[in-house]
Amino acid sequence: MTPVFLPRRTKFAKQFTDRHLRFTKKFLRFHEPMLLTRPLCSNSKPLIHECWKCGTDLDPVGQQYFCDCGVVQPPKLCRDFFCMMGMKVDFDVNVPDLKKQFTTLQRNLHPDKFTQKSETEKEFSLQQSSTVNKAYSTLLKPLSRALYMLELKGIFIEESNISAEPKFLMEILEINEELAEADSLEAVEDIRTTNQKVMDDITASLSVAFRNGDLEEAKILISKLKYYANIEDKVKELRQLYAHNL
Amino acid sequence: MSLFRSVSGPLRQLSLVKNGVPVACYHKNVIDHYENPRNVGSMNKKDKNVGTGLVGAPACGDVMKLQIKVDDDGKIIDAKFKTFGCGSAIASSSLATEWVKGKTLDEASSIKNTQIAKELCLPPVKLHCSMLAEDAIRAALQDYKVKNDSPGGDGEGKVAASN
Repeated sequence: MTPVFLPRRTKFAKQFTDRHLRFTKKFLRFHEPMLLTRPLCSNSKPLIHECWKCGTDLDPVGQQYFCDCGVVQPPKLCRDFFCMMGMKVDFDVNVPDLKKQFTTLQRNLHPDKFTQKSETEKEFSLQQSSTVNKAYSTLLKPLSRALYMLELKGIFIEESNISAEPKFLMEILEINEELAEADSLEAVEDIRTTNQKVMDDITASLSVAFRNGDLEEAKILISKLKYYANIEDKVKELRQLYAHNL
Repeated sequence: MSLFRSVSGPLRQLSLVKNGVPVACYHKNVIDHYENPRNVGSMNKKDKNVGTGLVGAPACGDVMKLQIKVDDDGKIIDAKFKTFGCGSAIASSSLATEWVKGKTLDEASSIKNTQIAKELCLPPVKLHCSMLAEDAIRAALQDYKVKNDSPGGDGEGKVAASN
């Protein structure tokens, strides 16, 4: 191993104050996948970076992965998932674009591409490609994307904050009961269709809420979406079960 | 050969994760309640003697329904629950129904989430499941009180419970 790691680690340790630690702990409970690339500075403008190999100044966005000299760079602390995927922070993500960007990035960053390179480059490619995976999976689904956007603003959905709307909870309970009693693939499919429609509606409202900068509304919608997302997960499990039995 | 070297890194990490799993396992008390949940079911929520508590956790999307049946002496004679959520949430509510049975309303309201968490040995990340159970007990007691305090009896109590 090269001494390249040492300066980075110490720098990181300095930045990792108690405040960050507290945030991270709190955050870990909700959304592990986002943890790795959580921007540690309030300002999302990246710091000035140099290529670790040739020392050239790097464009923080255009050259976040590779220097012009062709060498892979380590992931930077100061960047968000949107920036990593070449997008601006916006809830209305164009999913095909996101997928395309993801495959392009992984084509170049995947550790398999670096088997003949130095240990440092192998390590950096591994870090980069794993953070790209996290960025992609976080931005892909509306729920995790919305949670991440709130998190960028330092807002967390509190666990103790019980949403007291019995009518809504009753609805969720009833769907869950219906699902537990569903005895055929058709019944499960029916629930899935209805559920998907509700989720699409909430996603549309979320998009409006984010556009209007109404984060309180976004919080409410996200917690609703979470309940439906849980139902979706159960539906998926059931469908798999039926697929295996057929 | 270089291929082997390149995979040894990630593989080593994987096995660490694998070995880590048993450490994060549920406590036997949780598994006991999860596999043999006590008092699963529903009672007629329109019944004047039944209090229904319905609570949810927005962060994890769990829903929990806890119902108590109170006799004329103000003693909880039966309790039922239905929870859609993780193992800890199911175990917490199952334990809660066991504990409230036979208690008076006041005794039941003194049940704390910390007691539930202690009994089930819940790890810090799962403490909110026990809080959910405490809230469910509270909500059920509250519903019963609202129902029985209202002069109109059944009908009005029901409206208050569902809104």
